[in-house]
Amino acid sequence: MKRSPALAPWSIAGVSFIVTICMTPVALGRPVFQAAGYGTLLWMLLAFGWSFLGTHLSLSLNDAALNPWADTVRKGLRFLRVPFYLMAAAAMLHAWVDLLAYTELPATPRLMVALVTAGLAFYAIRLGIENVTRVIGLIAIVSIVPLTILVLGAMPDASLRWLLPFPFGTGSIPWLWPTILFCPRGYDILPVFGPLAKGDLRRPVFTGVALGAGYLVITMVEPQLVFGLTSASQLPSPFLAVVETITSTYLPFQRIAFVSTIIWQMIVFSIVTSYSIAGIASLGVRVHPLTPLRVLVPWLAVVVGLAVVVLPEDVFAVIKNTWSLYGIILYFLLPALLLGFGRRRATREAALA
Amino acid sequence: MGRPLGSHANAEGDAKTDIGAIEHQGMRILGLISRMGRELDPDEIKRAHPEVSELDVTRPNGERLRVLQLPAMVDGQRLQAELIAHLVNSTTPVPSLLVRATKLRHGEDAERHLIDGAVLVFHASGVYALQLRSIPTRTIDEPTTERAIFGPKDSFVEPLEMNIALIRSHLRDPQLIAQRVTLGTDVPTETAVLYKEGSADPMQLEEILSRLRRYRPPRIGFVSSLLRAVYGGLWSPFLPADFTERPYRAADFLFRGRFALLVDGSPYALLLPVTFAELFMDEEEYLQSTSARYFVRAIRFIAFVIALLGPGLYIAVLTVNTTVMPGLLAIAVSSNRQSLAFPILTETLLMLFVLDIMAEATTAMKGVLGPAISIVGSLIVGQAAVRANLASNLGVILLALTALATYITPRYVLTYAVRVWKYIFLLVSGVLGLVGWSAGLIWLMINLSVKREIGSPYLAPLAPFLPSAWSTASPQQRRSTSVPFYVRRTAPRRR
Repeated sequence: MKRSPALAPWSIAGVSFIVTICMTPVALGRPVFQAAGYGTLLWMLLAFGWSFLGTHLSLSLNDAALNPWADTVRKGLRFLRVPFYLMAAAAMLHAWVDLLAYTELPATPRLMVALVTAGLAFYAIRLGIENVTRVIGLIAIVSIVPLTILVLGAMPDASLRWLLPFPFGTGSIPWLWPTILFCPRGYDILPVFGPLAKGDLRRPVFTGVALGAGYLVITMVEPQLVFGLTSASQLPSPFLAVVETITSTYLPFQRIAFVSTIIWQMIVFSIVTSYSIAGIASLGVRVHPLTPLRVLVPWLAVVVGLAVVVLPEDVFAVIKNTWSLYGIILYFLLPALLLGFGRRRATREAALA
Repeated sequence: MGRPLGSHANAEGDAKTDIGAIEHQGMRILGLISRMGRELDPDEIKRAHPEVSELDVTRPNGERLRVLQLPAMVDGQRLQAELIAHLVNSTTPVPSLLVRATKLRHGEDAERHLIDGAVLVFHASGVYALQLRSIPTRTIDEPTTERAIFGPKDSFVEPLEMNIALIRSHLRDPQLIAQRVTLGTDVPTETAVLYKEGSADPMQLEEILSRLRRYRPPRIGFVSSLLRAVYGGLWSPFLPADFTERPYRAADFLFRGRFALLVDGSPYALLLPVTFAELFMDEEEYLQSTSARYFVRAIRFIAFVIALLGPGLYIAVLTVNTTVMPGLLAIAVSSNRQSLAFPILTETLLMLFVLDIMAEATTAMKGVLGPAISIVGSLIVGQAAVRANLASNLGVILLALTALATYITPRYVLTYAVRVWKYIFLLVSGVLGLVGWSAGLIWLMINLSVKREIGSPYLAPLAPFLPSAWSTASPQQRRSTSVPFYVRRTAPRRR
């Protein structure tokens, strides 16, 4: 029996959670710490609120009654999303492969890691958007406990004295602000996944985004609490360094950081899969199940190709910042304008009537 | 006027006949079908098969009838009381006397009825088949493969009618329906789909029935044939169904809106659809406190995770990602392995393979030989392998832990899944270390999340994540008469 995909709202919340966490604690750690100073905290709190606003805008866009132009603009934005999702998937995969290749698993070839991830993403996407959402929702559930253990495990080494004095906004570099604001980006998959939800999305998605953004804030604050800002900004991956400080005499593992490798592999798989499926859906390709292989294979080939190319760190940072700016325009400013115009028009029509 | 014949229900219970002999006899007669003509000739039937016995009955009005039967398959007492006595003592015309009998037209029909335990009455007005089958059965014993400490201790037997009656004895509900489906193109066998009307999902029922009707095997073996009929070629070792030999468990399952499938001749019921979480639950748990119940479930799940993922993680940590081990442990492991002949991956693969051989041998040789094989196996693996420098002590500990954890699950179907998947984890971990291990985990999660058999997501309510369904884990909700919404075809639904 053929039927249209029906996504469980709480599974979509899981996707939002994973996308919000993303790889930012690892991939953006050092540049953000170097550039943003103590003001990082304020920016992160701002980003936390910003993510809720973005989520609200994305969900409101699905309300055609509220916004009569939503469908037209959604179609117009479809092709803009394709390069965005391609860049996002490649950037995340690249960051992760970099992380594994240089810090965690020197015995594992970069290409192998990228191919394994892309292979799994290929397998999952072929099964359709409904199954992808279920799998990522499951990964979100499986990841929550280890992520909490990682965050709490480093707390004994934290000290509040590293936060003092608390100069507001010092050291910030304007071009990093979009990146920080776009860190909790759990709402940018909603235009693709949201319309297929069977049920009310608000509570689940806000919960997912809140959990993800909360985790993100903690992972930005924790390196400062453990190492202090100066030391944290010297480390290649401040949060990973925090995780590596966790030791336990009760477990047969010297470094519990290996858990982070497993969790982050799951997260990267989820990110690559969800961004790929969103990008392919933006092309207008039916993704339940995905029929044209000619779309998926080149897509993943580009992602893998970009992932195994070793980019200079500053080039990579520029790509990520550009991508963040692009995302803010695409998923925040445009929806806000659209919603504003829609509401204004609705009010005017009501007044005329 | 005598009452109509054949109005009694079939005799139950204590008629103990040699089932094997009857099956043999039935198979021989089946072979005759091809040789038999389409004529209803009693002499032809007797010539073709000497085991068929004949009674010549003379009625008070002088009419003579020939009665053919397979003695082992017919209830002799009923034959005497319900047919012969009436024919001999009553003057009622034969067609009126045999109103419950089937009038036959073809030789093939006669053969089928004969095999099925009917007697054939040859009269001038026609040939009649009267069902007087004796149900050969054994006594109802305690279940042998399932635990029943405090619950009912009866178990299924072979005859379908008895098994349906056993379920009905535990679920005295007029809404319990047993829908019959005859399967098997060469050897028709009765099967039954049991469900509780009003609780079971009608769409799932329709799907099961249509799949059964489409299934056209030459013959139906055990209840496992029905699993193939409903789910087709199952590659995944995670079966979305369960087997039980306890009527009480089947009744409980039916009460909760699921389906039980029975086959004539099989002492097991196929229960479906089953979710992954339900495979860790046991009815007996509900006799314990809530905390004890969750504790036991947690133990089972952790054991499942250890059995499935433990060997792979062991390989990943000891071969590729050695830096995660504490220094002292790394030294202890390396000194323990200095004189070993095989690398870790080969050693672990070999030992797990030996473990599976032992498990299969113990399963195949039940009774006295089973424990003996276990002792021999444990001696070889545990002591001789270590002394011969074929295995390390750490490897033996891992093996023992894996074996215990594998068989702790209350449902046997889940142990096969663990036994198959642990090799996959072992191989990917041996090649790629933790990356391979976590890739295997993702692969498994994809496989399980995708499973959606007859409309029920296998991992529900975890994937899709349906928090509102978690309340069904509570005893009150679990005793609810309706099937959880996530098990229905249409899941997930809008709250």
